[in-house]
Parts: sequence; structure tokens; C-alpha cells
Amino acid sequence: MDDVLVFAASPPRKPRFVPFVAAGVLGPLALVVLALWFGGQARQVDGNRAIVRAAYEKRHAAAELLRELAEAEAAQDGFVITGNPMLVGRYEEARVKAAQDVAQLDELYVGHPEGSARIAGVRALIGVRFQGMTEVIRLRQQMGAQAAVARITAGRGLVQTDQARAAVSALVEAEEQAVGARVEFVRAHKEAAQNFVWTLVVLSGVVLLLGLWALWRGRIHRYRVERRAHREAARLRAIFASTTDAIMILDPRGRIEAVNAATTRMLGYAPADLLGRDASTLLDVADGEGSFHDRVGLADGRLIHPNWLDRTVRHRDGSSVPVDIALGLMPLPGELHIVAAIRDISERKALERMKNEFVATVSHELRTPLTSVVGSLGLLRAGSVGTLPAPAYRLVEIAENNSRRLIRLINDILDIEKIGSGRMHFERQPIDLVKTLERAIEDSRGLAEANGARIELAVPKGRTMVRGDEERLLQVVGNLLSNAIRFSPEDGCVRVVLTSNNGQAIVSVEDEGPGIPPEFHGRIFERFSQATGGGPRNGTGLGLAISREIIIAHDGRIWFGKAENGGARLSFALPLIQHAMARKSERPIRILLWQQQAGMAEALQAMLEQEGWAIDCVDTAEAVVEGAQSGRYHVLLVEHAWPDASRREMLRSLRQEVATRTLPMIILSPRESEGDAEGARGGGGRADAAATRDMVDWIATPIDAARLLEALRRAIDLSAAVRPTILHVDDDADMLEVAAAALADQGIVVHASSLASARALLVEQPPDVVVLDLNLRDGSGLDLLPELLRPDGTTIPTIIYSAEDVLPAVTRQVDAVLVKSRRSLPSLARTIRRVLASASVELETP
Amino acid sequence: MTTPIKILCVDDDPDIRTIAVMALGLDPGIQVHAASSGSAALVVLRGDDWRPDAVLLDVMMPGMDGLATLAAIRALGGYEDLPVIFMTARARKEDLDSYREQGATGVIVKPFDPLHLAEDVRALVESRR
Repeated sequence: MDDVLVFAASPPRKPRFVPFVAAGVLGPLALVVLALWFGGQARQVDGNRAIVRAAYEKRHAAAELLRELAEAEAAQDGFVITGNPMLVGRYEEARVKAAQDVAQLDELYVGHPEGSARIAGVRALIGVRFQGMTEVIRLRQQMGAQAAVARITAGRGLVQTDQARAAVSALVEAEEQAVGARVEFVRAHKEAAQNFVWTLVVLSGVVLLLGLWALWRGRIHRYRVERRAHREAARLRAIFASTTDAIMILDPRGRIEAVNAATTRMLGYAPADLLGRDASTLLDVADGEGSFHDRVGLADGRLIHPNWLDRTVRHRDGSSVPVDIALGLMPLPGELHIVAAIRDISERKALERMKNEFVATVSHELRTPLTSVVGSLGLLRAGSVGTLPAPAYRLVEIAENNSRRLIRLINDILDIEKIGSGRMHFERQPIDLVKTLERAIEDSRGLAEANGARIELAVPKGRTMVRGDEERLLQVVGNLLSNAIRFSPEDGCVRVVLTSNNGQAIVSVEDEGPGIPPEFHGRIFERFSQATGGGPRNGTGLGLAISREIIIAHDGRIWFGKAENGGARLSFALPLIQHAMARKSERPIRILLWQQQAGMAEALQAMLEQEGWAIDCVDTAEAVVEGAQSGRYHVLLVEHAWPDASRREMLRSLRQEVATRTLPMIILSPRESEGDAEGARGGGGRADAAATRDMVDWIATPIDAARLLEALRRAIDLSAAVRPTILHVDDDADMLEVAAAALADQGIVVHASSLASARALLVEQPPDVVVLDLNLRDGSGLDLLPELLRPDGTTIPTIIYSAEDVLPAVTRQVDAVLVKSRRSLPSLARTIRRVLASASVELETP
Repeated sequence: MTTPIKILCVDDDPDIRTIAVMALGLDPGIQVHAASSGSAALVVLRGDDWRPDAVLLDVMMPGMDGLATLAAIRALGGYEDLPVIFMTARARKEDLDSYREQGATGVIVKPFDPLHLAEDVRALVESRR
């Protein structure tokens, strides 16, 4: 267990208070009860002592009484015999004391009815006896000794004395019995108390032992927990310290709280220089405005982008280190910290560079000798050094074909390598697939003729516009054609069919060959896979794999099937783009002409009107900028603007402004030099230049009408391709119509009058901005909000345009809220422009 | 069309030079001279007896490479607008873009098709006239 690093899944639990309170109350309560019990025992001992003392006093008093009785009898007898009056005094004294003893006994037996009754008997007997003795003494004094002796002899004095003695003895005996019983009781009680005390001692001992044991256990447990925590901390410290990735712990404000050794190595700072510093001053993450958590993309307790690839960190010496940064959450009590693991990728970058360089060099080194081989063979075969004899010709042909195959293989391997490393770039722009197919067929004609195959092409009328990299799509069609030709029988026909359906352009290439063997179906698009048996084996085995990658990169799909005649059919589909000419009725084509000399507009007017296009003519730079920003125009036609630097600068800025960069520009220049167009294209980064390259065209003057028309058509297509699509959802047909007219200059307006049709349109043609009414026939427009996403998952800018009140919570989810009325249409148009510009929608293909 | 197009072909590889000269020679309307290095090409251009209409220039050459040669040609005086067509086996998109940016009129990718070389060169030169 200790060998595995265990992370507690949950934080430690706080001890509960209640048991301690219960023990605190019950313990003292038990002690109080015990104290009360001991108090009771003490009182009982006192009672016993009082009882014993009382018994002693009673016996003492009884003995005194009997002694006084004997004293009195002796005094009486002495007086009778001697007549000494002193003895009468002694008698009297004994009589008084005896009375006192009886009174004392009486007192001692208060509350004891039985005892009191016995005392009453004793007192009566004593009284009678003393009465007899007093009588004898009176007779002796008055009548002499004779009479007294006679009285004693005749009397019952001795009997009375015995009776009195017996009564007192009985009293004493009873008392002794009572004391004996008491002693017996106390002895018995003492034993019980002793047992109880022993039990208590044993119990206390047990409790004490249990308490000590529990204390020990708690102490040991705490020790183990602390030891484990210490070991885990030591391990984590060791990992933290020894990992080669730099690790930073950032507090909720983005300041560095802890760093490991690798961080100091990577950044060149001492730890003390890093702690407390704002991480974004060093890392190429979380720049910009807002709180640190907002900047790193922390939402709902999780990081939206935990991995920041291909970033840089700043070294102390000012250099940049290329890194990948992985962010993780570190929830500490009350605060959310962030852990940044920073990996130095300089070496990987260098390796990548070396690999690219190596691939480029190898391809160069392979191609150079092949150039000589293919060139020589080609020239030989073409008869440039004289006609070859037929067998020699055949051999040269074989050599040339195989050299070409080697070239294809090198090219394909390079392509696959590019695809694998994600470096295949596509310059997508609006292209007419019909033309692409025609070019591809033209390129493959030689191969077809060599294989004795024909190629037929069937395309729909007009143009079929898709957004794509024409060279790469040519490569795909070329691959499909090459496969079809190679598998065609002699005099076979390869059919290329272009159709469009459901927003997709579909190209199919069919041959009359044996079809694709079923066992090959599963891996037809895999690299280096070629069908075995039957077919020719001079392909590279990479063509379909490359084609699939290219088509996928164009958001299309590629698949295979069986032609009606049993041959193979390979098809691909690409999404169609909107065709401006097809939408002519929705928005008349308007051209803005910036003329330098009068008369140009008139010259063009007639030609353009034939096409149904309108032309507006301006001659100041301000008017050009205003016109370009209005969004009304499809094309800007500039009459020879060079070499005036300020005009050139103005056109260049039009290319860079978000609002005007999508307006295609045609420059009419007397000198047939691309330099003019390059001038307008210039500025911005390289990516920018690539994106705008096709937005600028040039036409030599004097104008060739056919060339100008073609350039204009292409520009209008481009304009349509890059014009934003506005999806307006409203169930009021009048409003849709009025809004369409008001918004026509802002983009292509698409209508939906219900949630259902809006959903269908979202899939078919994702808009660039949505104008949303809330009160719809089949529900609330709010239901649509979560679905307003582009295919890449980002949110489509949305403007609520409704007569209903909108809650602030909803307002926060959308880009703007406007109250629906005809008067607010101009402000809706402005809002759409603002939303599109601020979203900085890249309308050109990246 | 009676005056032939004069092409100066520059490549350090004698095999390729031979093939290029022969391939261009397939077009009777093209007159070719060959040079084995950038400096040799400059010698030809400095002379007055044969002024080419275009230069077909290999990019990777020892010593003065194609780009350096191009810059030297532009600096010669009188050749600012001379079409210069690069020949290269380094045909990555970024390479091609950079050649165009540095002033190449066109690029012919090696291995070229000897049967179409003359046609391609003629098209590039004529588009510049």
C-alpha cells in the first residue's frame, strides 16, 4: 500500500462533537451519584455510632440503677440494725439517684414505645420497693428496731428487689439483643459495600485501561497518517523537484505561488524572483483583459482549453523558449489554484525542422537524377535524336513509365508525410468544379490514350461552385481517373459524372473494369493498399489514401460503389457554395467604379447593362471608401490608380478593414504588370496576403471586353462566396420581406418562418449571423439559442429582433437585442454590420 | 513569330543542362544558350552580342545560387523586366511562394516533362510580353 502513491479521494473528516458532549455530561453525573452514595454511607456509620453509644448509656444507666437500689437496701438494713441516722442520709441519696437513673433511662428510650413500657414497669417496681424501704425506715425511727425487722420479715422486700432486678436485666438484655442485631446488620452491610467498592475499582481499572488503549490507538493512527502524509509529500516533492517539465502553481489571481527546479532552469530566474510574480508576464497564456480565470478559460469549474500548444515562455535573457503548456485545476479549500506544467519543445521543434529539411532535401536529391532519367527517356521516345527501332522504343517506354511511377511515388510519399504531420495546407477559394474536371481529364488524356481508354464527362448546365484548393482537387480527380484508366479494359470508357444534390456537389468516376474485389473493400482507402489479383500494379498504393485526406480537409466525403456495368465507381461529395448569379433577382449586381478620367463609365455602361448589372461612378477617395463600406457593391473597379502613393495606400487600407476586405477589387491598368495588383495586395501578414490575393485582379487597358466580363463574373462569385449569410427567423411574412429588402446590402438573407425550417437551414447552410424573433408558430425562438452553432462548435452571432420583452439573462447570451418595428430596420442593418465586424468573422477561407 | 524566343538556360548539372537544351530545341521557335553557373550566366548577359528574352534558372547551384543570380541580373541594368523562370526540385508550396515573392516570373518543377518544357516556357514568356 505504501509503495503506491495514493491520493485521498476525499478530504479528511472532522471529528463529531456529540460523543464528546455526551461523555462530558454523563461522566460528572456518574461521579455526583457516587459522591451522594458515599455521603449516604457516612451518614449510616454516624447513625450506627449513635445507636451503640445510646445502648452503652442505657446499660450504664440500668447498672447505676441496680447499684443505687443495692446501696439503698444496704443503707436501709444498716439503719435498721444500727439506727445510725447518717445511713438514712445515704438511703435518701441512693433513692434520689435511682429516680434520676430511671428518668435518664426514660429519656434514653424516648421514641421506643416498647422500651418506654419496660421503663414504666421498672419505675413502678422500683417505686414500690423504695416505698417499702421508706416504710421500714419510718418504722425504725418511730417504733424501733423490732417493728422494722418485723416489717422486713413480714414484707416482700426481697421479692420486690428481685422483680426490679429482673425487669432491669430484661431491659438490658433486650438492649443487648438490639445492639447485637444492629451489629449483625452493619456487618452484612459492610460486606455489600466492600463488594461494591471492589467492583467499582475493577470497573474503573477496566475503563482506565480502555481509555489508555484508545489513546494509544489514536496516537498510533495519527502517527501513521502523518507518516503517510509525510511520505506522500516527500514523493510529490521529489516528483515536483525532479521532473524535467517546469511546473508552476498559480494562485487565483494568476501569481506564481510555487515553482520547481525545472522552472528556474527553463526561465533562468531564481525562485525568489518568480514567486508572487504575474505568470502572464512570462507565459504566452492568459494575456488580455478580465480576471485570470476568465483569461485561462475557466468556466463552470473546468478549463475549456487545458492544453496550450506551441506557446512561448520568456527566458530571463529575453529569448523565447517554445513550449507546450498543460493547465490543471488544484482545488484548495476556498480557492481554485491552477497548476501549469510547461514542457520545453525546443528539441522537438528542432527535430521537426530537421525532418522537414531532410524530407525536402531527400526529395530534391531524388528528383534531380530522375529529371535527367525521365528527360532523357522522354526525348529519346519523342525521337529527338532519330527514330528508334520498335523494340528499343518499347524498352524506352517501359523505362520512362517506371521512372514516372517513381516520381509519383516520391510525390505521394511527400504528400502522405505532409498529411501525417498536419502540414498539408489548402488554399481554398471558390472554384468551378466543371472546369476542374475538364482540366483533370485533359491532364489524364495521355494516360488514357496509352491504355486505350476513353473518358466521358457529364456535367450539369452552368457552374458548380465549391470552395477548394484547385490543385489538390485536381490531384484527387487525377488519382480517381488514373485508377479507373488502369483498370479499364481495352476500348473501355471511363465516365466522369458531376451532379449536385442537397447542397452537395457529387463527382463520380466509373470504369468498365472488374470492379473492386470484396476482400479489398475494408482497406481501399488505406495507405499502400492495392487490390491483389487481376489488375495492373503500377499505382503507388497511396493515391486513394491521399485523396481521402484531401476530401476530408474540404469538409467532404469519399466513398466507393459499383457501376451499373459492374465496374468500380468512386465518388466524392463537396459542399456547394451559394452562387451569386443564381441569386441575381434577390439583389441586383452593383459595381462601383472609381474613375480617373471622364468617359470610362459611359464606355462600360452599355456592356455591363447587357449583363443586367448596374454601375455607379465616383471620383473621390472618400466616395470610394463610403461606397465600399455601405456593403451595396459586389465589385470595386479602379481605373489605373498607380503610381499615386496616397491612392495606393487607400486601396491597401480597404483590403485590411474588416468591413471592406471582402469586396473584390479589379484594377484597370495600362501596363500588364502584376506589380499593380501586388501593390494593392500588400500589407498584413503572409496569411493575410494569401487570403486577399484572390480578392484583387487586374485587367490591362485598352480593355478586352471578354476578359473584363470574365474577371467581373469571377469577382461577383467571390463576392457571393464571401458575403455573410444572414438567417432571419420570423413567422410574419411581411416582416421577412421588408427586412430582406433592408438587409440585402449586408449579405445573403435566408428566411425561416418556423423553428423547424430554421433548424433545417442551420444544417444545410450555417449562417454567419442569425436574426431571431421569439414568438414563433411552433415555439419560442429561445429554444433555438443552444442550437445556433457553426459546424466547428462555435456560437453563431445572434441578434434578437422581437416585439417581446427579453430577460437580462437572455440578453447576456446574445450579441444584441432590438425591438422589432419597421423603423428599427436601419438600426438592425447597422447592428448586423457591427456584430459581424466585432466577431471579426473570417469570411475568407482560412 | 519569325524572330525566335531566346532563352538562356542556367544549371550546374550538365545532364539536366543537356536535356533542357534538347527539350527546348524541340520548339523551332526557341533559341537556347546554356550556362553552367550563375556567374557564367552573368557573363552572357553582360555581353551585347546575345540578349536573351528569358532566363531559365536552376535554384540550387553551388557558389552563386539561383536567388543570388536573380538579384545580380536585376542589378545589371537593362534587365529589370527580364522574365526569369526558376527550375527547382524543391517544390514545397512555401518554397514556390517564396520564389515568386523574390521576383521569379514562374517556376518549373523538376522533374519536368521534356516534351512540354518548351511549351511551358513559351507560355510564361509570352504572358509577360
